[in-house]
Amino acid sequence: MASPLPQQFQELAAFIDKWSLATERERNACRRASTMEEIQQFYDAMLPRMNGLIEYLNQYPLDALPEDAERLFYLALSFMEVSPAVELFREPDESGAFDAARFVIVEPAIV
Amino acid sequence: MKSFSLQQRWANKYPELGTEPIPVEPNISPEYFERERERIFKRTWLNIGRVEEISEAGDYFVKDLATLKTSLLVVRGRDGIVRAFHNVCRHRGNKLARSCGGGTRGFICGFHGWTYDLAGNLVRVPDEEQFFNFEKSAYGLTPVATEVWEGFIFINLVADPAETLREFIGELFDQFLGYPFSKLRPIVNYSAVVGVNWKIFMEIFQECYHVPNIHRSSVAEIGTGKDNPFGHLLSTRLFRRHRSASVYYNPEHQPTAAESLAFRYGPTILQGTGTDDFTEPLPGINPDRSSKWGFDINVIFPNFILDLANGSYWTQTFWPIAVDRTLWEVKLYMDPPKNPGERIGQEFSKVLMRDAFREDLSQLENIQANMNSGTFTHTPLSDQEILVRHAYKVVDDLVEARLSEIEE
Repeated sequence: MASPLPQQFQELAAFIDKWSLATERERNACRRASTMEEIQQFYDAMLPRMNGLIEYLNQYPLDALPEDAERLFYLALSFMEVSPAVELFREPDESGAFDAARFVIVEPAIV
Repeated sequence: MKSFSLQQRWANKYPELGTEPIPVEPNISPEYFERERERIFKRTWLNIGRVEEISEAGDYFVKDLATLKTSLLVVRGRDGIVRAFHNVCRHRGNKLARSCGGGTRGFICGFHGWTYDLAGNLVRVPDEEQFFNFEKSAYGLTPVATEVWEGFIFINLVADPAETLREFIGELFDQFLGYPFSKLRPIVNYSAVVGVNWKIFMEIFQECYHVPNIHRSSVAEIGTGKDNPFGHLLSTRLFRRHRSASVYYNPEHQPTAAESLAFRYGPTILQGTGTDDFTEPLPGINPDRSSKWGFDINVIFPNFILDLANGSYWTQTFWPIAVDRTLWEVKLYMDPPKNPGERIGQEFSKVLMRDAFREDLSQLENIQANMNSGTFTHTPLSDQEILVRHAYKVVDDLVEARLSEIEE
């Protein structure tokens, strides 16, 4: 079996099942369903790798990512998804914000 | 140091708006709402999308508008012209196009198979000989007045509108010449139905007085600063019906780790393209050339907000369903990402905007419920809420028939 992530990013493989998600709706739902510990662990693992990860992904066109690179790409999008939870709210979803279930993410807007 | 009058500068600039509290009644009266529907929405140019959504001949989208109690079919013809029609088969009134959009060579009614071309002409009627004194040319789709401004498609339910779209947009028509609307694409499309009057909903996006409070966990840090702790507007421009304002940017803004990452690979909604040289920004934005500029609010009467930043813009449309119920649609437009890094950077702007919008929306239904309770009749407005005051007055003048264009 091919490795799930490009060789130099293997240590992030443990996060694939939970965080490598193709749509904003899925990524946001995952963030809201997670504990702050899970989010923090993912954020902390991703942050130091983000620059290298983007440099790696940028060798490919956006619409032609190999499968392993695409998993990495979705992890990076999930990093951005969870970043306000860690950096601003210090909780998975902001208490008192408008009901997420009624806030419709229309997809695809465009990739 | 500053004189009292300087601190309340907008009331001085626009004394005709007064300083009195404004009434609650227009937000809770079903009768007032019906007059808004008849005197404003059914008689005004309304934005329903952008030309890029239907870039090829035969591309179309359907817009169901509860506000106007109609469904519209918007289609690009073989001649390249964008046309809108009532989405109604002229035989027995069935809804013609049933999907929300796509590409087609024509439209076939699902009831008896009447077929229309892209210009709305009726071209095929099965078993036509069974009709009496029948001319197909008399049963084309009912057209709706359609014009385009900067790529934004506007419709007007009046068959022969009293003013052209150029006259309607007025002072703002030429302001954005050269802004790269046609190059940017939506990276986000959000919507929500909220139990609130459409004017209350729009008001929150026309003042920054709420920023230090509602957005204290998110964007308050960038929208306020040491020299501007309440995020006072940099400038305001009130027109006959439309209005604009420039929003402050904290020059001491401290980006988070995620924002710094995003900004390395492209513009963000917070930092624009990152230039601090505001002598040559994109055309149409930051008209006062302020060095502490975040973005411009442009409210196109009655229900369209066009917020322009340096390298991105976002639109909001508010469609009243009832006096206390509104459909809100928002899109954020950025450069089509050239590589995965730019796309990842854009996710930052998208997610932050969504989370900040959910803060804005959080209070609306409480406000409406309290207004409905009748426990108060007026709300005082600060000088920083001058756009809210203007919005109220423009609507009220039309509903109460004080503006000339609805005098017939």
